[in-house]
Amino acid sequence: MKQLVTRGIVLGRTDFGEADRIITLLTPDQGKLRLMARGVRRAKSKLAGGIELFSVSDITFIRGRGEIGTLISSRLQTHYGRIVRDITRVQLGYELLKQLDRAVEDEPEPEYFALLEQALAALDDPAIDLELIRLWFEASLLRLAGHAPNLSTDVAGNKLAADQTYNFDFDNMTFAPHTSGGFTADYIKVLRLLFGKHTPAELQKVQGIKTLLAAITPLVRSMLTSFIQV
Amino acid sequence: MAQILLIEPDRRLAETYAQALQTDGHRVRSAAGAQAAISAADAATPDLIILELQLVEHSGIEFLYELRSYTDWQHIPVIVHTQVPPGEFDGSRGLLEDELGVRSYLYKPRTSLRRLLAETRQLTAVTT
Amino acid sequence: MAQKTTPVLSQQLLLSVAEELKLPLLQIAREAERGELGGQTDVQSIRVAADSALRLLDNYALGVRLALEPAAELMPESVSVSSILYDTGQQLDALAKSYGVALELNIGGRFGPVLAHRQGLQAALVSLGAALIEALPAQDSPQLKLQLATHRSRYGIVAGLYANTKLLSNEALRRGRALQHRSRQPLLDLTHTSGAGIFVADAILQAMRLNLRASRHHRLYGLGTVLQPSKQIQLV
Repeated sequence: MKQLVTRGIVLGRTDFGEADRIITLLTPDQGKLRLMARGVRRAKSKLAGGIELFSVSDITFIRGRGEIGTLISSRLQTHYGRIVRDITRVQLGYELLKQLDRAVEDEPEPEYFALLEQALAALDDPAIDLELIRLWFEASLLRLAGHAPNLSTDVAGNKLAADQTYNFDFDNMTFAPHTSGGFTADYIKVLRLLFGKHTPAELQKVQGIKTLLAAITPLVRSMLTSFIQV
Repeated sequence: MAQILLIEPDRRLAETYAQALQTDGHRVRSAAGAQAAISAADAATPDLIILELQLVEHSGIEFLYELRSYTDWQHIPVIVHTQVPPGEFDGSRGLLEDELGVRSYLYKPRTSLRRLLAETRQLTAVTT
Repeated sequence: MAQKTTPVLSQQLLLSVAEELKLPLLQIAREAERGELGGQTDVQSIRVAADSALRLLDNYALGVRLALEPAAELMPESVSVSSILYDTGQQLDALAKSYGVALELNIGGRFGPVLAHRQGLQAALVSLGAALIEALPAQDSPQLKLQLATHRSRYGIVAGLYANTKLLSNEALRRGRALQHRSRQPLLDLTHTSGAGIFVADAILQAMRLNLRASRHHRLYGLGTVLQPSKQIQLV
């Protein structure tokens, strides 16, 4: 049986039997893996230290006949240790892991691995606002799933105008002009930033971002619940 | 009579809770922080740990990770007794319960001494 | 008069104060309950906790009033730093005893009067002192001594509170201010609470155009503020 080597981020862990654990990992090249870590709960096992929550590990494993493979060895590569110091960051970290676990299929999708790595790095930085991280993550999930809104033209195909107000058309995932619409050019600008490929650290630097993000949060949440099963 | 490890950073609160637990028949060791708590557990393996999540220098979660990495301490039941409102932790209850072996989450402002003592009795009756 | 949002008027600080108030109220409630359950209630500790809560509220309210006062009316006066530190020690004595922290006064040396708003400066130092008294024993290596001291620096006369622990640098204080309301414990390495006492002191000093800064006093580390000598002869 061939031993395979990759990098993984733990999405979840379930105890199994007396001393074993089934670990779900996201990898860049093998998709989502479910691996049995035998004896990891029994002793100060060699496996235990190398497979922590909120970290990236180098792992060696063997594919099983069924859904679950076997973890042979693991080594911590990057541990985002500052997350566990702050309870509210732990909370969000755990929620993001669960969200990603639900959103991702088993096929290899390196973009999701990169997204999760960026999310953990952002959570590890106490200066980056938690709500910003959450909203950025949700927008990224939509973008990767191909459900980003149209932020260039309106329902009629006209360029979005700076002096126009809009409502959002969920069916077409695009803005529709309306004299008393709830969205102005400022909101559209911040949506462009959010759905662009910026990191949370870059978004944090934008002046007034917090207030603008708070205003568009309900919109992004609605998009997410409509299109992605989270 | 159980050996309790009380991890409480506020000295005044620690005295109050420790005295109440002692009156209820338990032996109590107190520690203000994570490192002191590990030393205290080393000196006398507790039957139960009562833990404030909001500590100085290291969080209660960090402490729990460290605790569970030691074979002898993997099964010690933990009551989280904390200033952190449960609503802030709802999404991570799986983390606390499944990953870190927390049996009960008590929010300090709404948990009477009676309740804390009752939960302690319940969890130590099982283990001792 | 247009109201600017100053630190003391910020929602972050108000939230911080609200969180911090839970502690003395919890101390009172549980100690009283211990009495009900047949233990012996420590009435003195209940009184100390109640005073602690009142002090925090009072200092916060003072900070708000100072921030709302037109700048022209916030007149500093000639005050003796030593006497302010002495009074600070008196006010903190009961709290320090209840936490097992020894208060030391180090006001030797001849310092002339300084210019300051007496009430504000006193409130800031008391607020700071109370926060440190509660935080010091909670460290992983508990510290049980707090020194109230003054010394001359090249910037002016420093009045501050010091302990034998590397609690803070200016950078950590800046990070703490930035993380208020973003992190549950913005001063993670210093306190298990919301740090309200320190931020209230910070806000009061800012309302008086003074700054809370990290400071060294001999081999001790702490927090203090720099005051300018008064040229007036009369002392308050």
